[in-house]
Amino acid sequence: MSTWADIDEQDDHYLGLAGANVVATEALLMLQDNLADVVAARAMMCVHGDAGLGKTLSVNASLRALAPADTCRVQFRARPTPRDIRHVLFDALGISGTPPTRPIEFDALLKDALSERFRVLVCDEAQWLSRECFELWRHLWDDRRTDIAIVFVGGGDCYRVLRREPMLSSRVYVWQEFRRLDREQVLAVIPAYHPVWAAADPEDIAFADVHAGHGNFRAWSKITAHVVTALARLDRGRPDREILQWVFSRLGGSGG
Amino acid sequence: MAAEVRVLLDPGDDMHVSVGLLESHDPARGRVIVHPTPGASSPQALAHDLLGALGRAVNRLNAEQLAGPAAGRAVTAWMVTDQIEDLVVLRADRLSAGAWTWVLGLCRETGSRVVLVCHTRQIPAHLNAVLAGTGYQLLIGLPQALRAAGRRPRSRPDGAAGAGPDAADLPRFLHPHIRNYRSKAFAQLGPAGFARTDAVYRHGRDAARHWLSTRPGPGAAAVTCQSVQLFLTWLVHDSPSRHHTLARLRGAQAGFRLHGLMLNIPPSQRLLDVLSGPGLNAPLVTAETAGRIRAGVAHPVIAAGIAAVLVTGVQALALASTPWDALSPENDTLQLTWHPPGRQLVPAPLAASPAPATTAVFHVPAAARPLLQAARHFSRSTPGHRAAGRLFAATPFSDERIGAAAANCKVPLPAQPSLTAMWQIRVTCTRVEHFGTRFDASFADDQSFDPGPLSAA
Repeated sequence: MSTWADIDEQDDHYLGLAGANVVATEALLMLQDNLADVVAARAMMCVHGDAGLGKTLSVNASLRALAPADTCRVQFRARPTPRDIRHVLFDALGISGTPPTRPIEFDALLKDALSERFRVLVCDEAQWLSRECFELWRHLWDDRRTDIAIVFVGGGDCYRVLRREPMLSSRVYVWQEFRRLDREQVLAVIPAYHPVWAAADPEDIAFADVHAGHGNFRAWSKITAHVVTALARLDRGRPDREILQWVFSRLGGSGG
Repeated sequence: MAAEVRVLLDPGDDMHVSVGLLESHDPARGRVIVHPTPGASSPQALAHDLLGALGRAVNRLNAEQLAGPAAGRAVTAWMVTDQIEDLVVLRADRLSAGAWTWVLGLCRETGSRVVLVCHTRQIPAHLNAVLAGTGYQLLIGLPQALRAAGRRPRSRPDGAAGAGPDAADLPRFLHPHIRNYRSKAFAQLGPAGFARTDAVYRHGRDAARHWLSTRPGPGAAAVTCQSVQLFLTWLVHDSPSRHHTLARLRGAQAGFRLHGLMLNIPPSQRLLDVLSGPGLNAPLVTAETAGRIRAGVAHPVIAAGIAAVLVTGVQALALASTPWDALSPENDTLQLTWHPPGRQLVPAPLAASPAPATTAVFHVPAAARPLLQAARHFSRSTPGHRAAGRLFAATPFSDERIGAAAANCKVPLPAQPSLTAMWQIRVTCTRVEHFGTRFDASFADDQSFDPGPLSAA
């Protein structure tokens, strides 16, 4: 579990890549608009898409600008139970004392905390949640006293998991899918993503995307980290095919 | 009596259905929407959810010994007392058949209508079986469910009227004689002090005259010691200070005198500085106080215990053995009888004869009565209940327990340990047609005493 307070802006980037920038992709710009609407409507939202496409980073970056003091981010690595969610929220909301043992008491306490002021609850890796867990989120959101918006972020089959729950499909205000960057987007975005690509030959960027990037930010983050290392060791100013071949060898990609 | 049962199908689990119903939640108007805790499906869990929906605290269920089956009886007691007419159970399709059976029994017992909301295309088979013989009605859509409720506007007893307009404290005035009380008050307090004190005095006098005029007749039964105590504790129960209480009681003495009765009350200085009870140190139970008790306690008997402590002004332990017949059927009078401790060394022949009993009568404000009524209902449903048993027998009743529950309600309790310091047990009332010529002449003059325009007041 992690909470918003634990996360530095640089930690938004995969590997905490130094020098990386948040780039204004179309998906990020759309997300900012969507989140603004969701926050205004105190609604639910689902951000879904394959791993590594920048969902979490985009949500974090957007909410850091939109509702920095009101965002409470929770994340689960394995299949959580409603009890896990209650405890994670207890910690994330900074509730003092000992967590109650009885679910009704626990929920009453959480509702009290969530009714004190508006909060955006970000539930990352939502594809891990069971029906009972979604019931708990819905229960908190439906309550008349609570003042919350909920953003579910998930990869893999998150969309399918949430869509099959009528309780959520009728409540989710905005569904947004993150997709791989196409070649044109890669060429527009990657030079702004990190200084090492600023002066790179677009042909080399396209080459890197074909063989290792695949329009996936997480893959580009790895490529970039290795390129930074290579440029430092070889004392060069910008990446070229030779450097990229070396990077691919480290990534297990083909240099064709 | 069969429960009036409806089932609302919400196959799309539409947000507007749940939220729309939750927004119609209004216990004060007899309508409760229960939103069951996710993952809990048992009758007991539903009972706890219902306590929460009724506005009762659910953070001390273990401490109040409501973790078990008693929770269901507490729900029944509160539903009856709060006059809940419509109960809506959301997410009913996720509850157990046992929970459905329990809620149908609850509505039969309380006479409430129930709407079970299934967020499914049809009623699950194992739950449908529970409905056999209920003649339930199937509803489709939120408007139908909201119409089915049949809300009726209803007002609650407002409780004590409050301190009245003259809530600022009165000046200290200890004069003990009613034959010249008013003229002495003017001489000692000046125009402003007199005006304020006299207004309170006249309120007590007029209330006493009105009360006496409604008594059935001049016979001995018309004005008993207990009825006088009850009237006087009613008269002062919402008094804002000891000085107000004293002025009201002096006024009552005058009112009694005008009806040929001699009302004796404790000396002024003892009323102001020593004695206890209603109007002196017993906190006023207002609708707001009762609301705080309801919001902080789930157990009806504990809630009633806090109310009784406030009404009497004594600690819980002093009330622990109170029998049921101490409380009037209308829950408006509490009559406590006890044997004051006598001498330490008692001769053997007298050992078996206790000291004469003392009785203290208390007016129970309207706001506190529903709490006592809920306790009455709960206790009657307790297995092994005896009609002649103790009022607070259904729960462990100690200063510590009641104190902790009151703290959860943020209601401060009085610290008086016993009933022996109650002022009203020292009141006597006798019929005396003629007090003596000098007294009567002086009293008549005092009643007509008119200091003229009190511009300084």
